[in-house]
Amino acid sequence: MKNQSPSANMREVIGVLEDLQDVGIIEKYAIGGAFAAILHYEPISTIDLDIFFLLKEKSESPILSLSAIYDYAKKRGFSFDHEFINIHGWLVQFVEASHSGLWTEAIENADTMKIDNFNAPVIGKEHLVAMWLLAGRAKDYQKIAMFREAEFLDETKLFDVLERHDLMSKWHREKWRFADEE
Amino acid sequence: MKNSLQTEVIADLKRRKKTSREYLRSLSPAEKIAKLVDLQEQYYQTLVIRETNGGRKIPEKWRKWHEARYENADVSDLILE
Repeated sequence: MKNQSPSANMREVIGVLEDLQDVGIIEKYAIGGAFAAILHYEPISTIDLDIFFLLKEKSESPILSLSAIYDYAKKRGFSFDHEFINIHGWLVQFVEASHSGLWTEAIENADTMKIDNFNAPVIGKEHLVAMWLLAGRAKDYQKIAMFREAEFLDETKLFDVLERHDLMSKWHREKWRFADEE
Repeated sequence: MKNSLQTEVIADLKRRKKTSREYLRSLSPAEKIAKLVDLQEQYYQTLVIRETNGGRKIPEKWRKWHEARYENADVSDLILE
């Protein structure tokens, strides 16, 4: 990572993502995962930056869909492995979203967040909660608990998302995992 | 008596934790990113200390993180004239 402020460094990452759109590889993208949780709420430990994206040219195979991005990374001189691409010191994980109605909707309805002097698309709070519920790992439930504790979720919006993506019964079934502390 | 002191200590701890979290939540997105970087650095240092003292090895994902963060580091500012 260059010796500059972390947000200036993040500006460069967003610049690369915008370039991926400009050269016609990705159509839309938004920041998701723990990084999005940090931007909405408070800093928690995470090593990577999850980017949910939609390809410009649709592909049936999730592996093929990433190959254009890996080719781009190679040309730009970014190192990578099967999991992450190192973009200006940040481990970026690309997640193709077109096979999931929920993920696609989350990208299309992402919030625009101002970070210093630039804007970044960030998946909205209610969609993040629905995505964590769908993933259903212990760390996902912890983030749902964190967001519920914050009392900033729009429950009408959240339940609408959960209802439309058949997650309402899972919400009721798993609710005890992210119940309020007190 | 002991129980009331214990309750008081716990209440104070909760109050301090609440204040600290309120501060973190009030930060701008850019400040939160800076805090995340601090957290990552501190956590990695803890893992280094653990490994150095014969504890569990640094997890692979954190090794990757360290490599990514420093492999292209611009150290030109650090060169002494």
